[in-house]
Amino acid sequence: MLASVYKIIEQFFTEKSTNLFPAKRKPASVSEFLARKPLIAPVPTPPDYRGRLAFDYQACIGCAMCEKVCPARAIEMYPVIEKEKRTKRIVIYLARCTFCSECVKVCPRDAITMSGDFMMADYDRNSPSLVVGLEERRKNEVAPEEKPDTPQE
Amino acid sequence: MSKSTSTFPLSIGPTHPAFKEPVKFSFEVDGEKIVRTDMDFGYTHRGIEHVARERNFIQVIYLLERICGICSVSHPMAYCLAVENAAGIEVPPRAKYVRTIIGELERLHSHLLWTGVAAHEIGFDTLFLHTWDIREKVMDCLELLTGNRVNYAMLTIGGVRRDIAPEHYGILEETLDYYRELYNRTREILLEDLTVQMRCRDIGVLTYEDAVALCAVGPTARASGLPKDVRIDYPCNAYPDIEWLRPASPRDIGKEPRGDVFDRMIVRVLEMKQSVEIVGFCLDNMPDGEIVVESKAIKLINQLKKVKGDGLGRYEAPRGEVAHFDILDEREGPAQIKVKAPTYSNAAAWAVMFNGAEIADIPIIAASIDPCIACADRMTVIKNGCGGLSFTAEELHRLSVEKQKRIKATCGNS
Ligand code: SF4
Ligand code: SF4
Repeated sequence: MLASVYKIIEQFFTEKSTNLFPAKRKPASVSEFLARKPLIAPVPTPPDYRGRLAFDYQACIGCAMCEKVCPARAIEMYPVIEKEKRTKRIVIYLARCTFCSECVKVCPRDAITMSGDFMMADYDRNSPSLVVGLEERRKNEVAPEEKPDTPQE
Repeated sequence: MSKSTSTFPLSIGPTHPAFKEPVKFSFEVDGEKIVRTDMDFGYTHRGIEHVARERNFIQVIYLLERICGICSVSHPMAYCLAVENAAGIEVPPRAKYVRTIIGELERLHSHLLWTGVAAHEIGFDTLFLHTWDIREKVMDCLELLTGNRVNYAMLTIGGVRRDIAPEHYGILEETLDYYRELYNRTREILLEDLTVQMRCRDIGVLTYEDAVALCAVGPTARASGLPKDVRIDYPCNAYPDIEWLRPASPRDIGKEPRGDVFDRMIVRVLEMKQSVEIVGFCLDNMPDGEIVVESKAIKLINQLKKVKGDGLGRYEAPRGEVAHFDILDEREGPAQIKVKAPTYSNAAAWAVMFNGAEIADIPIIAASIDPCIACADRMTVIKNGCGGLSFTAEELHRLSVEKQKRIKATCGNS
């Protein structure tokens, strides 16, 4: 019994870790209002946190190893022409990603890295902020190679 | 079902605010008393075993992690043990210790979570928030060690993926001290406070005999006085080295086990203490050396591709025994995989626990085995679009023998 009472009293004096809803009425400008009022920051992520992925287009050699190990099948390959040779590059759909970092580990060129960023919410699962490597894809993607004709059945 | 004048049916579920997951209970109640219980599962069947057969060995680890959000180390652990068993891979000693540490931290956070849920079910929300507040510390610890808050992605076949670095020891020790200090106070709130006892004593009783007959596992079985713990009976990882480890029992604090909800609370509180001590032991006795046999995923897949055979992996998850049976058949992934989750064993005990209970006690009795319905849902029968099929034990046995033969035929003669 005493232990519970003690805990409740203690609670009055501990530092808050969440933010109360900051306004009573809708302010004229939400962003200005938030800038004025200091909010309690989120808990910092530890080093080696598995957060948002980053992809280095230049380092990648198109070996497709990351595509093979990705458990969520979040990695998609598309054809490009680099140094006058046909090869492939990847895009990563973060909305599917499970943040296992298997791709980071398997990549022979360290082309994929992870950061501490975890605030990734978006309304659209295909929005540019949730597809890593989309910009490069738009710039560099070429038509897929013509497949040699397969006999029709 | 014949209509009776004195009892009437009460149906709860498939989705109901009192339960965290979909399960359907059909009770037969006489006034406030429950006289008969029937259960129906299968509302969260996700076909994980089928999906696993289409993936390679590495992908399957992360898939199995998602069988259960709370035991997200137990399922991959059992799977890795099974595959290592089949392929004859010997895990390096350091990896075994790291696995034990992660597993025990998971048990600690799972039991704290359960305590909160149980407190919430009996309407003691202050305690619920208190235990979840305490739990944050171990979650932070796991996040630091593995990089994820849940679904740690820590295990791989033949070892672990991340080492416990020298700078982590201090933080881990600090966390353990925090829990050691808190233990007495938390124990007092949970086990000596009258509020909890009034709602939990002699509620949902599972006697020793019933626990044996219904094959209860984990804390549910231990609370009925059954000394059953995979960590001790079939030790893996670092458990063989821990000589003082014994199945927790209410006898440890001088109470004769009655098999009620309160005893399950006692066992879990004792196990939290046990987990803290096990992590402490592992930190003190951590061997040096490699943490994984083969760190390159592609190489590992190619190695396992040459293996033909089968293996069984057993591990004590926070809720009880989890067992995985894998068949390897010279493929990139497992040819067949069978998962037995702890709730599957414990759910049968519900039928006994509910008998004679009152309607108001349904949520706490249901929560007392720490159910994870999604773990246990391994099969759904759909025939011509209508449900309501039932099988007898003989029919199920015949069907599983048939399935086994079918698998054997597709896998050659492994
Ligand atoms: S982190 Fe895992 S899930 Fe995400 S893209 Fe890489 S391999 Fe796939
Ligand atoms: S593994 Fe690395 S180099 Fe290979 S395709 Fe993926 S990102 Fe490119």
